[in-house]
Amino acid sequence: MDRCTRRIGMSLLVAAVLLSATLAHPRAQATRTVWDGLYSGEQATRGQMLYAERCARCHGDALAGMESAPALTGTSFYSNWEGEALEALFERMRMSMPADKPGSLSRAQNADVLAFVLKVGGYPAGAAEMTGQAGTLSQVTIRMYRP
Amino acid sequence: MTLAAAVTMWVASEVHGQSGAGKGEWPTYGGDLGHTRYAPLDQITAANFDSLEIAWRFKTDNLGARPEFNLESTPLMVGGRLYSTGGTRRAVVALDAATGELLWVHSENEGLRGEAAPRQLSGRGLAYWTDGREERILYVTPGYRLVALDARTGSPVGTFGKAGIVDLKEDLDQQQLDLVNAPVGLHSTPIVAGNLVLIGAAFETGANPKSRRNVRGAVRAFDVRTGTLAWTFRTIPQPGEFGNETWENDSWAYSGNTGVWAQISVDEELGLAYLPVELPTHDYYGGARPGNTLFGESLVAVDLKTGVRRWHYQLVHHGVWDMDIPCAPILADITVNGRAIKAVAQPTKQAFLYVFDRATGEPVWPIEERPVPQGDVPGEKYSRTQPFPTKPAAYDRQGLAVDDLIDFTPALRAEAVTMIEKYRIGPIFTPPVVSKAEGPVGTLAMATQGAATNWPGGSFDPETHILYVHSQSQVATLGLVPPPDGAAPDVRFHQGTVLSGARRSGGSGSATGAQGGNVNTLEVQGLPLTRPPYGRISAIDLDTGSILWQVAHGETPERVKNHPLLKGLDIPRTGRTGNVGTLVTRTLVIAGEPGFGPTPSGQRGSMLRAYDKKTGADAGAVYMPAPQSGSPMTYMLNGKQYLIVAVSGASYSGELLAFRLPG
Repeated sequence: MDRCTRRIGMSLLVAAVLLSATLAHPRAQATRTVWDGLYSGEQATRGQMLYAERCARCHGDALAGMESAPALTGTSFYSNWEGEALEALFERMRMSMPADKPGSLSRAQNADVLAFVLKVGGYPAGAAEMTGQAGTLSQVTIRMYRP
Repeated sequence: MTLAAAVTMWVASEVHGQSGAGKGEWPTYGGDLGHTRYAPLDQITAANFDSLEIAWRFKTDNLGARPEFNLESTPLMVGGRLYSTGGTRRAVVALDAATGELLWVHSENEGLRGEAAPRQLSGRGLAYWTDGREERILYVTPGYRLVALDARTGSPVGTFGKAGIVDLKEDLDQQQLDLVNAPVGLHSTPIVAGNLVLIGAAFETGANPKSRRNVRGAVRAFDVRTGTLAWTFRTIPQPGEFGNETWENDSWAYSGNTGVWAQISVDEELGLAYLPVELPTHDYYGGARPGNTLFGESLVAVDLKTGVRRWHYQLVHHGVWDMDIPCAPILADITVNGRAIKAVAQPTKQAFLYVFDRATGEPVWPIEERPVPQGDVPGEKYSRTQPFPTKPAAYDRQGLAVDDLIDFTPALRAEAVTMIEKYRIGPIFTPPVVSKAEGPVGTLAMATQGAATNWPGGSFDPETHILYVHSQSQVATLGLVPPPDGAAPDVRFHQGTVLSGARRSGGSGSATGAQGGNVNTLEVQGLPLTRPPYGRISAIDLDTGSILWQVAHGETPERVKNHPLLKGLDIPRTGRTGNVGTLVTRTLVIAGEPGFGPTPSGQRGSMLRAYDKKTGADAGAVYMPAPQSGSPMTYMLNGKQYLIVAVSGASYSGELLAFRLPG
């Protein structure tokens, strides 16, 4: 098996494992997860612009983090947030970010930035936008792998 | 000798030994002035560790205008009071050490000066001083001011400096600094020895300097009673001073950094202070500072009373890897081949433990100059050789080889090999490259920017002569790109790659965090690029220079444990990446896990772990709601042994947890 074929093989294996997990537990989670299409593409685009202006200086263009600004994607992000409610991440942003002017973004702006973070994380977009209204994300769980 | 003088000397000798924290207290950041992080306490053992429960907890959220998520303090405990820094303004609190009740709080709102500080947030802690009558707490604010407080009340000591404060931006090695904006600060603690308080300097991250000109680091000592400057040690020697000739092209005249941002250690008997010096301006490109640039990346011993250099040893010549010296030199009295040696052992980012006779600076085991790979970055002038300790062996992986890559399955290894095809790899001291899309994109290496051991350093058991140190395996990408237009006119390169662009500022509180920029962004199917262990604790016998045992520290991360491609594989505990401080007691080595992870109860959090210090065997674990972020300490009070750990993480704001046994 050449390298390319092998990679395709692995991808199929991942897909099969994920599919079987989904079939075995069609509604294993009563709550929703970040895989449920929580934001719109347009919202993520707005969030991307805000991120570049207000967040990238510390968290990096690739959201990889640096120094005391943690990564917003990848493995260290999941180490920090796996299993947490998305509301907790939203509140973390709303109350303490940007570090140079905490609380200066509106709820809607924070929701836009969060939409961009979800998009970079590979989570699918949906039809509706996240509103950022208090409590709306408390039943949404952050999961690295699709349940 | 008067009775008062005798009492004073007794107090000083009890507090400031090199044999661990005495009297059941924890009077200085490292337990003692030698940073052994050892306490000869034995109430908490392997037999009861699992039954530890929380005695009290102290949340730091409201010590600043917003919560802090990066609490790195090791508190002190003297006379039943526990002292710590905390919160985004680096406030100081005194707590009842038995109950956690808040006794007093002191906070400085430094306004624009605080906002401009290169080292923000709560820092690593503070220092305690007493003459047997008066007690003081000393700390450095984010804005780089040294504050002396009455330890009983928290009030500034009016007779110290100006109304209790010495402005550290004044009298810094004859430099005229903008008191608000000059980018210098300090996040480590002051150290008090005798009647002097020693202070280093820290700067913005050196990967993307705005200019080759920068503030010079220097170490200063102040009178602990008055705040008067006692001496200055220049880490960048001026003309006529020893080492100035190692700065070619007069680069001494404009280069900066070269500070001591890590903890300083002191041997009061020998009258020496041990300074772990970082590298000069620019962490990854040395074209503007040709030469070996003393005292960059050198361990320097200076006379405690005068600041005059007694000896030095440069660990890295002309560094371009940001190795610095990141943590406290550990003072260790050892016996090698029957000879008693007062030694100093220096853990490092590069996973070498350098061991010297601390009176003379002679290596305890030979350190050899060996040829190292040479790079091809324009304008760079590499050192042909670097020092290699012959003992102990490196305690973690260095550089990068194919054999280091992920190996859970042949397919994952193959994917990793493909992934790094456009990168340069090699042994330790393989230099950074100018990043090119066609390759090399960067040099990949462990034990550099992704430090093996960073600021928490290690511990030493003065009874068994065994040193304990945590280290991690993190791959950093060492690439260079031109700075963005106009960002740094006299700087040729910034750290970065053609894929990520030039690195931006390290940001506020930079390098107080757990991760370095551009670290470990390469992942294979969401898994780490390298094979485990990702973090480990090593026990090193300093009488023989041999590694006695190593254990992976930290439960296997969920992303590995639950990865679909690894189902059915038997994966031993992998450890986790992060910066972890250790504590040694009579029988145990104690350290919290870095990062959030799976815990036995299923709760989200992290475990505080104990190991049998002789064998490394598991000796217990207790749940914490967030990872250890400050190094643990311990004390005895009212017949009970307490363990204190600072915890925090991106999703959990700073908190001090106090554990003790039930009943």
